[in-house]
Amino acid sequence: MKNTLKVERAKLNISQAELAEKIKVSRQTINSIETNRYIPSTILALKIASFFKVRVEDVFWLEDGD
Amino acid sequence: MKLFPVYRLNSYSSKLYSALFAVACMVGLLLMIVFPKQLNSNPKDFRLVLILLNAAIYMIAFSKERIEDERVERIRGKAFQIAFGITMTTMILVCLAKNQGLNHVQPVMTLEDVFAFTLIGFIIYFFSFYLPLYFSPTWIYNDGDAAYIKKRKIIIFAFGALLLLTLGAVLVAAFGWN
Repeated sequence: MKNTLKVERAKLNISQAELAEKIKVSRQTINSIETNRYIPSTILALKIASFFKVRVEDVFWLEDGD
Repeated sequence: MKLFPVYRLNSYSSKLYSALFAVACMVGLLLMIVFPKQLNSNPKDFRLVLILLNAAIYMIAFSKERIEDERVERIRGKAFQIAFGITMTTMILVCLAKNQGLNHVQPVMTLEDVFAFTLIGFIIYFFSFYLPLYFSPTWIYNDGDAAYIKKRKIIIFAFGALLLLTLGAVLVAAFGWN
């Protein structure tokens, strides 16, 4: 699964730590999601999309083979 | 979703106190094994310290991380799965070996054996939880938190080495040199 978390973060000019604090996860989790090492739960994906005020599928999408 | 709704995890600070207590227990056990005559240690004392060590490591295993989020919970769940699987398999194999297959020629396990196995389980959990958590490349940062991660890595490495040393000594004491 790919995502545009880093791009969305850059648009708002916020750090991983700030985003992590807002959605109440560790900064390590944000970093893991951005580097495609961790696939978030539906709840976390919804929280992230809600924070950026976009749809979930605008931030996360499936790759071929997923 | 909570992965462990039954076992409520202890606070992060209780983990620190438990770790200090565990270190004291491990040092005590090692001294009792290495200097049994000088310390006049007996099997009852040995068992008691082993129980206390198991309790301390149990507290560490069921304590929260500094930030306990879904990723940490997922790694924790996987670590318990691995620890349970390996410990149970090893325990069954040792029981079968001690009883010459299914002949049941002697009592299955002593108290030392049981606590040695629970210690093995906790140690497997310790490594399968903390290695991905702190030694995974995703935990390397360049925004000021590297010092904290480095400090944690050193503490975990030292604690893990002491755990392995204690386990080795306990196994030697439980199963004998022969």
